[in-house]
Amino acid sequence: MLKQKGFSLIELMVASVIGIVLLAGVTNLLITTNRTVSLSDGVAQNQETGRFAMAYLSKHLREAGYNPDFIAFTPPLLITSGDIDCTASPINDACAVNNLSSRGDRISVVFTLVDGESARSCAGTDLVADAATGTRQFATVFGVNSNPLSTSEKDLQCGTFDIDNNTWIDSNISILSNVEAFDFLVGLAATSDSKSTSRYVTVDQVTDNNLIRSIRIAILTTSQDQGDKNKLQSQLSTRKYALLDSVYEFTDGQLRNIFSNTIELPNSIEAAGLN
Amino acid sequence: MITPRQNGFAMIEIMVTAVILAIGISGMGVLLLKSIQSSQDNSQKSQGMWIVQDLVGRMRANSEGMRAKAYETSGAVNCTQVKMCSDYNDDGFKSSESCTTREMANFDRWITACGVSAQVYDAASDTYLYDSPADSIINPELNVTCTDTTDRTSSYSGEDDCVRYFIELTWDTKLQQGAPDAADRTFKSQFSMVMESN
Repeated sequence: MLKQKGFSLIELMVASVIGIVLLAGVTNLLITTNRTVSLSDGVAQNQETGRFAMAYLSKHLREAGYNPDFIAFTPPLLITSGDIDCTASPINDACAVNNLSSRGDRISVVFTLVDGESARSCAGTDLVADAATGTRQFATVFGVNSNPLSTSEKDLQCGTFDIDNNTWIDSNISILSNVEAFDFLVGLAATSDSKSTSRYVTVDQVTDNNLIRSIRIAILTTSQDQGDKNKLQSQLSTRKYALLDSVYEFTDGQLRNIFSNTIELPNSIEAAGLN
Repeated sequence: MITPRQNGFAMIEIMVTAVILAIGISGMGVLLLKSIQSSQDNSQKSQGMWIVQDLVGRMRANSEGMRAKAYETSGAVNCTQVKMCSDYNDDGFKSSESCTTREMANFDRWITACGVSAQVYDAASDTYLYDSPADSIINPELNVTCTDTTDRTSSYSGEDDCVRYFIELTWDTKLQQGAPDAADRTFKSQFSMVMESN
């Protein structure tokens, strides 16, 4: 008769203990890998969003007050002054506002085109000034969900407003997502002939376009929601992010980053003392 | 009938395999840790770049102060609160005061290196407060020096105008966390650039 010998109970138990220990190690590694991937992804998304948003905003905001005719003055910001009344419709949706919504401010910078010049709106529409139209003024409008009709979440939007004809060239389009909030401050000179900024204030305190010298912007970026299972920060402490004059508070453990920049406005600085 | 003689693995062999496997896996763990650390280090580098970029913008917006060498630092920036030249938020909206060019330069240096509140984590309320990009890097140190002047005299300082600055931001990184000596565990990372005044 064939005598069969299997494993003894002791052998089986030792083997399974070793197996469990090994498995635990491997599982741990898998979990860590998964978290690392989410974290690197979150960091990368924040960086990408921040870099693009800052480059785009800085480029467009630096053009504030552009006027090829250097004797004529173009106000850098679209606020109530002179002929412009920011309480009237539809320009009220284009003017710069402090604390427009829970996603921060809306900024609106003005530039002028003279006969023969052309530019592009945010959505790519050609803006042309010719002999028939004469000098035209436009405003580029930025904000997070700045369009009142917008249903999108956390989108940095851009729109172009035709000031002379009091109409939108095209409605606000989303430039990029994952921007939690946008805030800005306006750098004012002490006197109209000084070129240096002496104070940074919120836009609702600005009454004289002649004193504007610089703009300080800040954005809060976030990453795509990972769902509850995969939060990037293990402690769900309260996290407050101060963007210049406003504070945003979260307890969801998402990874967020503040980006800020100061943009001097060459057009306004050069015009100092001329007006 | 001949009983076939079976030879399995010996216990000792299994154990040796397990130990080798464990060493291998822990190696991968270290790799992961390194990868997290370097991605954080990269993110801090990029953050450092923005902080310096912001300071350059501030200096250009305060050209009189820049030419008058008001932005030069001597040693570490003193983090006691200065005159606030910008509206800010510290448990609610706070208004700013109008500043001279020198006060503005002082404020710009201070907010770049220190942020509105020096403390990021408040243990009592379990709350983190990030009020400037500087809060996402550890122990930022700012070094601004004027490297070139012109014959033109600044009306503000009575000295020669500064036309070129060297700006350097240094902070701690934790890349060598596993090092046995405390001194080796942190080391510095930095971003620097040269700017010319307008």
